[in-house]
Order: sequence, then structure tokens, then C-alpha cells
Amino acid sequence: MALIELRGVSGGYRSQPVFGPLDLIIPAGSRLALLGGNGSGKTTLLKVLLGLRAPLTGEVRWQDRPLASYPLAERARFAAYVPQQHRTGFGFFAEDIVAMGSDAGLIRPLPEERIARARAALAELGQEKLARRRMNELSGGQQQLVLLARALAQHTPVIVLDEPTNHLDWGHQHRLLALIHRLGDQGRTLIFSTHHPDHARRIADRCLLLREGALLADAACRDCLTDDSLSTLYPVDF
Amino acid sequence: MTVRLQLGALAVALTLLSLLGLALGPFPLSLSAIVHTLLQGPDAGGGFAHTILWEIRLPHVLGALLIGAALAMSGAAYQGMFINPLVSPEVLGVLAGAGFGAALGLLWSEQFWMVQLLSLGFGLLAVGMAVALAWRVGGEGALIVLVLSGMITGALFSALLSIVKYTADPYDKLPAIVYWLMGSLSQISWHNLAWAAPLLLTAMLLLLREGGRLNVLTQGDEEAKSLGVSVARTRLKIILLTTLLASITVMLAGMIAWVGLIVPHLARLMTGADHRRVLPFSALLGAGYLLLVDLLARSFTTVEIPIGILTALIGLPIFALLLARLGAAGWR
Repeated sequence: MALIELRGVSGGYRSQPVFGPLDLIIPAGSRLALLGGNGSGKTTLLKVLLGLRAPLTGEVRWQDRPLASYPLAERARFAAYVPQQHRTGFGFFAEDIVAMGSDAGLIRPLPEERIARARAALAELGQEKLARRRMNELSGGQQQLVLLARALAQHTPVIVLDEPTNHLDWGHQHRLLALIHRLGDQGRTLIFSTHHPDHARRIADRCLLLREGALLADAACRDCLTDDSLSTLYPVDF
Repeated sequence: MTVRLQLGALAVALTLLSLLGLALGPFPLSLSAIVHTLLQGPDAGGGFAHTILWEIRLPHVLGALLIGAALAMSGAAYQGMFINPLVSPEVLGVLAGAGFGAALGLLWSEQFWMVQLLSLGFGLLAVGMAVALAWRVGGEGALIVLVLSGMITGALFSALLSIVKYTADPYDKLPAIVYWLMGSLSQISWHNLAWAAPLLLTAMLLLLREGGRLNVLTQGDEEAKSLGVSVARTRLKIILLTTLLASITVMLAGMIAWVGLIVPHLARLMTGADHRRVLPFSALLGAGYLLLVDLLARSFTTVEIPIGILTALIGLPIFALLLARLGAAGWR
């Protein structure tokens, strides 16, 4: 069964299409990488399939049901989102931010358990030491890890990550990719955008290549991440 | 200090301030006289102390507590919602609208209920217009559009207020309007409190329940949505409750500035960023702050200085001290 399905979906801003229309079926347990140049529509596509932006045309379906029919709380228990850019106001502690993931989609928040769950998520990333640090005093990479911990604390079957390795140092990139791999082994469905074909090769089982909003390729990584397709995707000579 | 201890300490301080508020004034009352008279109940009648306490000071103190709490909590909610430490309840034009309504009421009629009704009505109308404009422009109430719409309606009602002042009789009506706009607790009576207090308390209780969602809103619209919070609905609810609170305070006591801006910062200094604590702390601190300022207004001069002047005069140095102490880091 398709966990997530896009039927003739296009997305963009104020009737200015950024991508699509495209059809897509994402089965449960997929590890899907999304590649494309700057402005090719990756982020918009991720937001539309999460329901954070309404599609311009077509329909997004989750588990054979129109996404539009899902209440927000139910969506938050189905898919977690790690954004590319984050801005936070006031001096929230990192564990407060992660605990927002623990509470997400619950009618009654977890008074005792929420912080424990937040700390467990930070520990999974080896970042317990960030718990009592203020979010606005962390580096870009550390913030990225906190946001990833928030998504883990959300305990969802689907995790969507927008360029998750963007601000990370080489060591953290390595650990993050290992973690994503592990989450996939646990049966979670992972959808992520990246600028690194190597990262896609390492952890994804399927790649979507997006060029100026159109689908250039949709296949297993080893089949579509070839020199030819990459030189079409990013106009460079190898 | 744990949160419970802090809340306990604040409650004790508030009780002591309230007792001082009942005791001090042109005719000081002793503690035993206060307790004795309060125990007699409102209908015992008779004595001078009884009249002062039950008819003047008690409604005055209760009014100060409620108005301070309502303004500070509205400010805290707005600062959270706009992810901006510099906004206060007037950002969507509520005070400008309410001020214009009250001035219109004073111009047209001598009836105080008319002044109050117009003040409430125009306060709600100003915010309604700002919100409607923002929604029409699009983005389901995107913050920057909302702020700009608030500036537009605020400027409109400020201009209208100037017209009312310009046309008002300079010997009779104009001073009444100017004094009223300066803010004063002297018009508060049981009659006012009887309907205003339940409304204020209900709106504050409802606002308290939004603390968790306010936290999530500070993460930005799309992230809040991905965390299961309806941004548009939460924002509307907070705007509605805050506008109601702010317009009722204007109705009861005119324009009292700075409480809604400064007190939430004190609350955050005590308890951190979490709005589930910032909201109740702001309410308690705001109640105490306004009562304290009111006490000063009544104690040091024979005439009661309009409280709106003092909240600014006393609030500004506190704000400057906070700024010096926290530096830029505390405001991010």
C-alpha cells in the first residue's frame, strides 16, 4: 500500500508553480532521497507532501486517504519534519524545543514524561549535553541536531528532512547518516533532500531527481545517480 | 528557587501589597480596622472606615489587581505570538481604537456607560479591522502583514482621536478627554467590577490554557503546523482574548501604558521562556506592579496623579535597567 501518494500534484507560491505536476507513490519503509539544484523545488515538494503548503493542483494522499481530511494533530503523529532553516525566539532550552516534539499531536501533553522523552531523543544523537543550553546560543549545526531530536521525540512512522546535513561538520554528517540508516532499519519511512549524491547513495534506496520543478528521474540510486544524469541535473562537466 | 516557591512568594507579596493598598490613603486605616471592617461584610453600614474600605479602597485595589494582571498577561501572550519582545497589547490598534471610542463617548454624552460601551466597541473594531485586512492580504495572518495592518488601523484611530480632540469644547470636553486618556483607577466601582471582573477572569483563564501552543508558535508557522498546532486558529483565539482583556482595561481605567510591555520581561527573567509559566507569572507580577504604582500615586501627593503617567515614569527606568543588565543577548 502506498503510504504517501501524490496524484498530479504541483506546488508553488501564489499560483507560480515551482514543481510539478507529478505523480509519486512512496511505500512504507522507503528511504527516499530528493536531489536537485538550488531552486529546483525540493523544499516546496517536501512541504506539500507534508501538508504544510496546499498543492496548487492535484491531491496528496496519506494511507489512501486525502491529506486534507487529516486533522493537524493526526498529521503530527504521522510525519515529523526537520526544516532546513530555523528561527527561534526567546531563550528556550534545547530540551524544551525537543519536548515540543514529545507533545506534538497529543490532546493532553505529557507532564512528567515529556522531558524524559526529549532527553532520550537527544541521547540518541549523543547530544545530552545540549539539553540545558539555550537554543539561540547554539551553532547552526547544533540547532540542526536539536531539531532532529525533536522529530525523533515525535515518534512518527514518517520523518521528512530538508537538507539535514547542511550545517553539520564531517563527523556529525557521518553520524547523522548512520542514524538515518538505523531509523530506516527500524521500519520508519524517511524522505530527505540533499545536495550530496554520496549521501543519497549511502542511505537511500530510491532517488528522485528534480530539475526546474520537473521529475528528471525516479529510480534506485545506483541506476539514476550516474555521471550522465548528474551532469544534466547540475550543469557541470565531469 | 522552584516554580512553586516563586509563585508562593509572589502570592504573599501581592497579599501584603493589597493590605497596604487598603490601609494607605488620605485617611490611613490600621490592620485591625481593615480586618474588622472586612469581616463585618459589605452591608453592615455605618462608620467612616466602613465606607472608605468597602466603597472606595476595596474596588480600587481589586481593579488595580485585575487590570495589571490583564495587561501584563496580554502583553506576554502578544510577545509570544509575534515572536517579538517589543510588542505590547496595542500593536493591533486596540488602545487607539478604544481611546477614540471613549473620546467620542465623552464628546457626545455625559453618561459613563456610554463612554465605556463606545470604548469597548471601537477597541474591538480596530483589532477586527486589522485582522480582516491581514487575512484579506493573505498568508492566513502572516505576522508581518498583521503588524503592518495593526499600524494602519492604529494610525487611523489616532488621527480620528485627534479630530475628536480638535472639535471638542476646550473648556469642558477636551480636558475630560485628555484626563481620561491618561488613565486613572478612580472611576472603578462595584458597579463596573460586577460585570468586568468575571469577563476579565474568564478571558485570563482561557488565555492561560494557550501557553503550550504559544510555545510551539514561537517555532514559526510551518513548524508549528508540523507539530500539530493550528496557527491561524490559535492566533485568532489569542487575538480575541487579548483584545477583550485590553479593551476592558481601557474601559475601566483609560490608557495604562508600559505594563504590558515591561512586566512579561520581568516574568521571563524569573521563570524562563516557557509560556505555560510566563503567562501566570506575568499576571501576578502585573497585578503587583500596577498596585504598587497606584499606591505611590496615592501616597506621595494630595491629588491622585493619573496612573498612566506613573506606569511610564516608573516603568521606563526599570526597562532601562533590564536592558543594561541583560544586554542584547536577553532579547533574542
